[in-house]
Amino acid sequence: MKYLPAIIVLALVWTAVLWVFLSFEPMEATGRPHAEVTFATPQGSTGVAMMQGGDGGLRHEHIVVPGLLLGCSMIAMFCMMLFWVCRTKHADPDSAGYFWNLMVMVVLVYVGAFILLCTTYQMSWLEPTEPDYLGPFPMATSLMFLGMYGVPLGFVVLYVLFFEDRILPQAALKEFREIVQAAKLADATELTTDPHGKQEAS
Amino acid sequence: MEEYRSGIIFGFILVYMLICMAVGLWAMRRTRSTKDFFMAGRHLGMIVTSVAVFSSTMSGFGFVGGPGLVYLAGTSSFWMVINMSIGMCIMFFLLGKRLRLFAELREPVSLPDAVSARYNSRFTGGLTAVAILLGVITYLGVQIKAMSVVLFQILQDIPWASTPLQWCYVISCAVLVFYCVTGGIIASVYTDLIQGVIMVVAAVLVLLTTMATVDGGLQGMAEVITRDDPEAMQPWGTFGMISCLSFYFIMALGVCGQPHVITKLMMTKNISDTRHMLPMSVAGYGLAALLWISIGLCMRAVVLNATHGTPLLNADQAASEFLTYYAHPVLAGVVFAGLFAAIMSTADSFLNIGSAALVHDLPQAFGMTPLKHELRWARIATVAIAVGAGLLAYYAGEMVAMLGVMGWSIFAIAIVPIVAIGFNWKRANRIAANTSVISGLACYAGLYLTDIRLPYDFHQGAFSMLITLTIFFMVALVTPANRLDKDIDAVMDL
Repeated sequence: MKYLPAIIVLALVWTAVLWVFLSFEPMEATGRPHAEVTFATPQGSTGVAMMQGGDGGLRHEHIVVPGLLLGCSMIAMFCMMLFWVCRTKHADPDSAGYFWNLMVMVVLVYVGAFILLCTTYQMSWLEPTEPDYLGPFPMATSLMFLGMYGVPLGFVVLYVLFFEDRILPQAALKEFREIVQAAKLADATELTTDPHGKQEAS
Repeated sequence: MEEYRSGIIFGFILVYMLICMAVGLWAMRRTRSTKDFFMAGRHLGMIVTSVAVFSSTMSGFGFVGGPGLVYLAGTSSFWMVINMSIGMCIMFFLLGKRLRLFAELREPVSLPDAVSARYNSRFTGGLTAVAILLGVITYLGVQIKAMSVVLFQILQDIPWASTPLQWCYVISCAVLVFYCVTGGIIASVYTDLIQGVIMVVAAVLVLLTTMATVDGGLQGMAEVITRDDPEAMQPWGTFGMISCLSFYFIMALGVCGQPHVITKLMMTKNISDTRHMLPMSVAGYGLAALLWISIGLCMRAVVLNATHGTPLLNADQAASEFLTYYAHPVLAGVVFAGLFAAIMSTADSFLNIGSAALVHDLPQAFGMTPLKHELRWARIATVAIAVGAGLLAYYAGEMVAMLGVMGWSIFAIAIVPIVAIGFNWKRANRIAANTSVISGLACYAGLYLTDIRLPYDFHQGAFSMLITLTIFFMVALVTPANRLDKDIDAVMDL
């Protein structure tokens, strides 16, 4: 039971990967050389220099759901790892609820941003050459920056704010010092023990 | 390139190399033991370590290959950059505290040393050392090659300084070896500090220059690219959704497996320093990555709107063409120094962990007694690795570049499960560790060398890492846990 969340997340990622692998893959699903041949392979070049994506709807229509599942399950895997290492026996129980609520909120915003990115991108298929802009980039691309790069900064903030509570509480640090002390003492004792196992000095 | 531009650029690079050598000499006075040479005596400050972490993560690939990828495929390669916020979070949450605690408890001089202590198995440590050595030689070869080729191109435009390519290899190796051999990891992290600052300054200046180059700044570039190919400016770029998501996966999780990055987490003076290192490293990387994004977009836009005249022969020319035609020569000098900085900051870390694997970890794994005069041997090993990687880079040609691409993935596949997961999970045992490393590397080598393309260009490294993670987890669950040493057991509870 203890490992059930990890097994579920791993199973979800594998389901998404296999679903993608078994989906129909259209021609040029991963781009094609630029339409004008000089851009793609100028004279003297050693390979394709510039690629085009073509019709976004056509090349993505078979992986809309598995792609969404893959992205969400990957985010779930990343976040599960963060949650897993924030459990510590020395944490302050009073702030536990507050901390976990904030963590869950960041996760929900993270997943929400990814879903929004995907749906905004799909909406751009209607008028691909005239996308809505958010800042300097098309809306879905700006959501990619804000969501996939920006939202995890919430975890950075929580790491800094709750460091002494969830990551390395003072009590844990104190316990660690005692462990190091005990290990050093054990080493010293071992060194002063004769080959027959008797201590030279008490 | 005009001669005066090349002269200015060369001047910046020369000054930069001299600074690196001076740092090496300064650090030599502080390097008295193996622990100093490999672990900087665990006396590093918070700012130095933070900058060293992000500058080691951003290699020469970010300065040359990154803009090239944006030129080639539009926004697809942004997924290799934006993963760093969650990637660094995973690294610091999972390893920031844990590795530092292990470092103080057992005083390891390398990552495989810590792995041996965690799993109570010299074989597992040795396996980690072999994976590290494999990645180091190939990755380092590519860094030396990139450095030599760039130096050669710059010197070619200066009649009095024109130098054959093989001499550029010698110069590159010599500078690297000089400050790594003299100052070990101390020289490496302090040059990382200089390199990190140069990278950030260069990236911000380049962003401003690109915005001034195209009418309308970033939005102007986006509009030009969208008119030509809307998909290139949408979030998945030309490679498509699945390919981008697999980049996101391997890069975000993979950063926890980069030995030249995570080893630095063991070197801080205070355990609590990791608290402020995370935001500093994320911010530093984010700023340095502006160069990757802005040059690529700018070059694609200026080629498409015919400002640039002719299309690039090779996507990797994006950065050099931009600096030649659109940047002020002083800025070009700073950026080329930044490029050398990025290459050298990664290369020196590789030299250090490679020599540790050779003189410390592998002899231990084979049950040999520790070498006498280990520090001297470490210095000799550093020279040997640099020369070996340099020769490999010079004679193996394209093969090295191909192997170099494997570097990040090799490290990620071999190290993420056994270190990032294993150091936080008591149930993880040596059978799981050994099985996952061997099977993951075998799977990746099989896919890569036979050139098997996965559907929708799902990244081979990402697929292999998923396999290795699954094997590690499942094998650990079905096999009995190893008995841990008392102190290790207690520390893993913290």
